[in-house]
Amino acid sequence: MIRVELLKLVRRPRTWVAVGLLCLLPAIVAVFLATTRISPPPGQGAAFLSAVLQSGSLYPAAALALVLPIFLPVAVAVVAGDSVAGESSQGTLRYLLVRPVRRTSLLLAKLVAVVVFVVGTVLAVAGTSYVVGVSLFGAGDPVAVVQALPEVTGGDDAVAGTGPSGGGQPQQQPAAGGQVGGQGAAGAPAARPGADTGDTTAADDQAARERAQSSVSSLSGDALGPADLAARMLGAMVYVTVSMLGVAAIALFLSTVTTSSLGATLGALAALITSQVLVSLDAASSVTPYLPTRYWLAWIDFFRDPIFLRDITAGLWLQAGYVVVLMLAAWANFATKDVTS
Amino acid sequence: MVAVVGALLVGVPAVLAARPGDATADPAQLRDLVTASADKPWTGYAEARAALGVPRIAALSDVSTLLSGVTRMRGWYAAPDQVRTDVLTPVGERDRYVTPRGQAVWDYGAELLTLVARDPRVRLPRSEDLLPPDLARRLLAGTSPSDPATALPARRVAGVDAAGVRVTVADPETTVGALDVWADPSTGLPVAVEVRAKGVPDPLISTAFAELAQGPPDPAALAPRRGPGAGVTRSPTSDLFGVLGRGDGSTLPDRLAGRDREPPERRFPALGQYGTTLGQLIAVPLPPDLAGNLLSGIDRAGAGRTLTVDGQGSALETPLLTLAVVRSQDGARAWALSGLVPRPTIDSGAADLLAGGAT
Repeated sequence: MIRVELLKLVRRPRTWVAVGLLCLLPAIVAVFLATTRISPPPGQGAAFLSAVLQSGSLYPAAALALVLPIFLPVAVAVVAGDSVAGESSQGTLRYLLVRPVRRTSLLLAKLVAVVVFVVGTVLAVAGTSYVVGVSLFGAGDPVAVVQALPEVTGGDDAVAGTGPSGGGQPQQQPAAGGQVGGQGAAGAPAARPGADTGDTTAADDQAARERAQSSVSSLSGDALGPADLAARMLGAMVYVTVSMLGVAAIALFLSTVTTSSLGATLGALAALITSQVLVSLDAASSVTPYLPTRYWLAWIDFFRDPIFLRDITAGLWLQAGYVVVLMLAAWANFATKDVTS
Repeated sequence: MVAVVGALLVGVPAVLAARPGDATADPAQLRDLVTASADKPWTGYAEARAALGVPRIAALSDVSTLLSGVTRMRGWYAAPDQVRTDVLTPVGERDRYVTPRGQAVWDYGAELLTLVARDPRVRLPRSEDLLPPDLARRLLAGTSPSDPATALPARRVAGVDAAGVRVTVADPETTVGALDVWADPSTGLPVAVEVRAKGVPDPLISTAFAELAQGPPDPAALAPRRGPGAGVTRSPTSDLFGVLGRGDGSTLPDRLAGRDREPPERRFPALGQYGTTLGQLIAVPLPPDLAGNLLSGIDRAGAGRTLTVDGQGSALETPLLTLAVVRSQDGARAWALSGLVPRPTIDSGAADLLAGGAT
């Protein structure tokens, strides 16, 4: 059952068009950034866009920030909205259910297919943007850091332990969560220290240069080693994936209600837009904690130091709530529905 | 059944969050405990909401941001001179480290660590001031011991069963009507603060911890850091009033709107502090170009009140805080005048500045 749904997903050209378009947007942005070197002003624009000019290994995070607000939810809503209503409008749902197929397991299979789509899309976006980022921006700008070293060591008396680039610590900081990073390297874009632009001028301090190549800054100014960065990136990707499950649940539920997949997709998008509007409205603060998009941006908290888990945890619970309630509703609706087409 | 599950999922957290606390404390004792809580260490996250509706003016954008809207902050507090506060934004953060040797400000957006020698005691408000313990202590320090303290119903804030005290400000020379502070009755650490203005029913500033752990913070979090490749710069002060206050203070009168000038702080001779209570006035001379900028900025925002003074003056008024810019007729002398004071006090202060202190 699940295998059938997955095959259906894979065989559809629309799936690949959606994934391709989602990967294309960050690539276009990267090309513009790399050719003009004009980054958004500090504190404005999408997250991490200024930072990627220094290190392309952060580009997956910037890419997630680019696709998260609109493109990713649209793609998820299209796929999830089509899952049941699409069969219905094509007239295949009737035949499907004539076969000895339990409606509950059909619904579950549909959900699994949507989840696989979300996971695959997030992985594809992160993977392609890592390749694009590192090839266009390099994995770190060793020259800038090496040049900054004398300044730091010379005049940093007021600041104790200014971080690994301060010159006093020759060793790479032990990366927290290194084990997770190791596992993540299979699917996550692990930052590889060697994948640099090959710029090797003024190599007076080999250790500092290697550190510089392999580390990017967290939002709090901590240097992140490759393993640490990969672990955080994996966390962010998992979180973004889970954030999309709420959208998927809304669209899937609507998909069982209507026979028009367009209606289900647009309904889910309307719910998201309403949620986005209310989240930005101070007057609606009493309901904001329950809105599906409230904690979407919390993935950026993985890049703070120490990692700020409050909103991330809240976001996970919230999405779980949406999935449980809406899938129950979808099940209640679908299991008792008269399938006429 | 679905409706039941949905209602449970929405209802249970709401009921848990709203269940009243049962802490009690003598209001006067609680107030003293709060005032003396500067040595209580904590780690936490707080959200502050301010509804002052200050229009955005370029030179003061930091202040207007924190006075209207939501400010999200993380804090690590070991001692008054060992503090880290992060002001979180959706795309970055701005961290301030207070160390025994000075301050450091890390700005992720600008990729810059600024080492700050010293900020004046009297300065413009900034986001970190909205952390409940700081706000409570700072404002309570400006109240009079004779201001009545009454008990408020207890609240549960970030896991603390906090007792509440309301200090009603009697002084007619300030716009602050009442301070509502909820604090841990055992340690006195303030966990939530609401500031009310006279004549306004709803609190204008409310701040509360959403996460709190009392006890010493992780020392590793307190060390300033800068990202690889980021710049470092030094600055004598990080505050606009601090910068202006290092100038020449000879145009400041000794008395303003009936308030005597406090002895100026060392290194900030041009920072005029008049009074020490909540009704204090702050005056600082402005360079003519900055004064022009601010005046036109206030006018453009369309929210300013033109002062009827012998010169040029505009005031940006909120029910709580007022900031006025006053310039002499010939444009050679200009000042910024600010305080939690009512309209007549600003008017008379502006007149005193222009008259050169003759009251």
